[in-house]
Amino acid sequence: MARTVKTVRFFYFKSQLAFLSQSAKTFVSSFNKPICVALAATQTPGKADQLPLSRRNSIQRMPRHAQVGAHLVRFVVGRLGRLPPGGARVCAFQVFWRKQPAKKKTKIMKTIPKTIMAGALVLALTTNIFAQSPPYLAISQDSTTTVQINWTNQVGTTYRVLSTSDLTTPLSLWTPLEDAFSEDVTVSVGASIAVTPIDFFNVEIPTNSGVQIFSPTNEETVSGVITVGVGAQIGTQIQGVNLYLDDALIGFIDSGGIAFSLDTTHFTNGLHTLYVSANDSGNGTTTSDPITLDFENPVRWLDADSLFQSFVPIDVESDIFPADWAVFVADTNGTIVRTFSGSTSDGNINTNWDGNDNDGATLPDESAYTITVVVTSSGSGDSMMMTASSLASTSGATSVSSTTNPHGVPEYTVQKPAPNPLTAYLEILAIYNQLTPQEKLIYPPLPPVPANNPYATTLVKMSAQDMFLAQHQTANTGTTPMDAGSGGGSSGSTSTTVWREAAWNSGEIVLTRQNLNGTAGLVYNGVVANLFDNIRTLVTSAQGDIGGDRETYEGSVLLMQHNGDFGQVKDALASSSPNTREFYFWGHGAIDGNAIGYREGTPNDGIKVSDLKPLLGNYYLPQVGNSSQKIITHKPFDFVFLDGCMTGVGSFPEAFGIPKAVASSTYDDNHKHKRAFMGWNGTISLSILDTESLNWSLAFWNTWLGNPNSGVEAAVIQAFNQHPSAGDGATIALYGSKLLKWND
Amino acid sequence: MKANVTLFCSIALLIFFVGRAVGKEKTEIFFQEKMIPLAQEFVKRNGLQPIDFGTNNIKKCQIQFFTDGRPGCTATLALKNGYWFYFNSDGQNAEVWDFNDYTKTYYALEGAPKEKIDAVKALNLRNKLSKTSALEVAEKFFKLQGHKEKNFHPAELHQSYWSGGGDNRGGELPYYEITWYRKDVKKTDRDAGIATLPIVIIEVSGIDSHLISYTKGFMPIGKDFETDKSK
Repeated sequence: MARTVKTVRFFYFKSQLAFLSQSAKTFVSSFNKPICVALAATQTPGKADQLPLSRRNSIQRMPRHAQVGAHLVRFVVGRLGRLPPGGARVCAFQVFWRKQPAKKKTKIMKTIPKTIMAGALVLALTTNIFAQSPPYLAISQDSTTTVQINWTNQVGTTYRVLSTSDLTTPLSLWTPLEDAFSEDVTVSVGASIAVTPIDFFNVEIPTNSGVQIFSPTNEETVSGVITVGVGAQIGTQIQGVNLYLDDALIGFIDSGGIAFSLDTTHFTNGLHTLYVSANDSGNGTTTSDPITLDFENPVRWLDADSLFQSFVPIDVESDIFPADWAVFVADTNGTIVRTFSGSTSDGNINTNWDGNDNDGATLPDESAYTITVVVTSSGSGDSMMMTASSLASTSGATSVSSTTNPHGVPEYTVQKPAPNPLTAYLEILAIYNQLTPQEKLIYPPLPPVPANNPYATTLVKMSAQDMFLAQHQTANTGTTPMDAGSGGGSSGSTSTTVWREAAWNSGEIVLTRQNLNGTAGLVYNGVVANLFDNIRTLVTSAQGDIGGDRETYEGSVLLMQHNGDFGQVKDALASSSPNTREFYFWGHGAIDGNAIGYREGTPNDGIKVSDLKPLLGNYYLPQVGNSSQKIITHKPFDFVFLDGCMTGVGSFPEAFGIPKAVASSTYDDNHKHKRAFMGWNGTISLSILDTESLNWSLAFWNTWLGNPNSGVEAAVIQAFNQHPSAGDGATIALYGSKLLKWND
Repeated sequence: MKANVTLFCSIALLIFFVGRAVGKEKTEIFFQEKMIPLAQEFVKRNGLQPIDFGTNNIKKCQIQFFTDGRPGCTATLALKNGYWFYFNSDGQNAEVWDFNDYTKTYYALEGAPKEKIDAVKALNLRNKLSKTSALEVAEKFFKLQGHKEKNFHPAELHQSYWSGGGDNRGGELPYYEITWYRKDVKKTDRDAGIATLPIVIIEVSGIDSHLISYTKGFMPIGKDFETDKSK
């Protein structure tokens, strides 16, 4: 795909810090030490440092408060005055700086004043440019090996960050680091710094339309964990990008960098087709051209789990056999909590992790664990432990000591020879001597000459996994070095991260029944109370199956008989601690379906829709004219069953955040919390000769709670199979998700 | 008088115990002759994980004969591997009307830790079906249960999902839910939320294409329409 680009370029020297920020003032104040700045412009991106000073539009020094030359920062800012044919816009920002030794301060101050006046103009111009032409740039070093590249985002556009250590490299050969898009105003991209003393970064903004996989390239052979880099520029705001492997959706990103991490060890070896599609705010989809990749992994873990409660099956196939294998389980801190090992003669490894640590203690749930399976050629003995003498003899270690961590897993400290510090210094000196005088000016000062120490040693911490690898590396002398997921060789590995699931969580259920007055009360209150006791038992029993806080609110059935009772039920429905998300009511429903629980003869009290809406903060506004429908929910419920006359015809569904007009597919399509509402669209009868409605209700709860995996529609079906006449005077209305399950 | 009372009590006890014995026998017969063979056949027909239906593997069994004069019963059978069967019988014929396994096809992850969300997201890495191929898989199961496409409106497919996440946008899961309404179902009835409409719902897994759940409702046993000869 042809690409036109707007380029934002900057470079910096390692171990230093550079900023090019929204305004010069911000830029200056971002340093806590005085600085000097030089600015120049060029029309040739990537060539700025090669232009003679005379061709640069300006070089300038910063205002007095920023001039003291403890630091030198130079901007080279370029921008074409006119758009070239074809509409491409090119803009280059290059940034580098160095820490200047204090003794050179005077010299620098003498060098720079020539450009002060012109610089002031350019600074103003630059400030203006930055203010009007995002993206704004900033670069900071957050560790010795990484930098953060930040810029102000044009929402919905994509960016590509590339790097090189040699500015003479053609742009087409720069290494892509990350492709990103974001709805955030400021985008931050982390990049690893190469070993070279200088790195250049380039940010490209595609201006033509399309979605493309940048990396890996078509027909490439890949192994282990790969990064799938994507660029998308589709005219309207990007909502997200889907990744498909062999037509199956396997990933989705809706913010940050468009870089999918794909562990190819979880798929079969051979050819696979990969493509992406970008969804835009107009519900449009743009799909990239597919690429074909050849997955080649000697060790594969197909269908690796990512969730578990009690144990994780580990079924790994290896092309390396006979082989020794070891499983290492690490917690979120990276601490290895469990190790076990074995051997395979045919390449099939079938084992499992029981969720315990090496001491047999059950590890916490609601936490992630990374399981790594390492397979190596046989031939190094049975023990994962290696003695100090054997390791020393094979790997040059001078001593090895071991301890066990709190999970009973051994950890090692190895003393090994270290490079002579003078040798490293001489390597840096050799690079320094190759620099031009101008480059030396901005090169970080050389460190003091270290002492010559050919017997230097260093202490290295080794995990059980490191030791297993070291043991087999040394035992299999002459074989390919351990390389996770690499193709070929005598070793390989695969890993997965699993979440130990706690009991499924949702809210408590509010059980409420109306206490009938008079003769009806004498006859039915006991029967209904029995129904509710049964339901409460079913709730407790279901919680035993799925866990979580799914008990009955306050462990009791709330009665609605007096005015004060209504307030108690409302408080229960509005409760956030405990969190109540289900509601079952049995009793009277008003003729218009907008009130429940009123006392006989006083139809204006009870719990009314008009009270519930503000209480729960749930509103539904239907589509009117050009105004689309709106759903506002502050406390939507998972499940509501109002078991009374006419309860399905009013606005209770809307009051509970389950509007009638919103199809189940709307929740599906928008990935919203599942929910369902049930009520009767008519009058249900209750008499001595006809208790089918009560029987129906119990049958429904029996099915739905009796099998927490059963959908609500299935429970309705089964209740009607048992008690078909319950629907003689009314039909049951079910809004929302028909497949809502109790364990949801 | 005393003798009459004794005789009456004896007869009552006899009726009670005989009744219980007959009831027990009826239950036992339905369990042995209907439920187990139907469940075994269902497992085989749908290519589910084979399981021994021995007593040790049965978690729960409940048979409820109709008490309103109709012949037949409904029954549930839960196995320890998570399979759950629901049977419907009209006295002569019986079939599985509902089946589901233990697969959790929805996650509410509002406020969940990032690692848990990542784990749920990772489920999709194992998805091997597209919506098109998922529909094909579901249609295979649909026909395996004896349903005929001509008797139903076009299938409606939704990919299962999880809700929540940092941006509250949730995400998709490698499971698919496919619904068929019978041809005579009116859209107005559906819009009214009427839950007693003839319906078939099938869930399939994108991970291994297996049948997660099957639900049939408000149709005659063994056929889609009363007028159908047989399935």
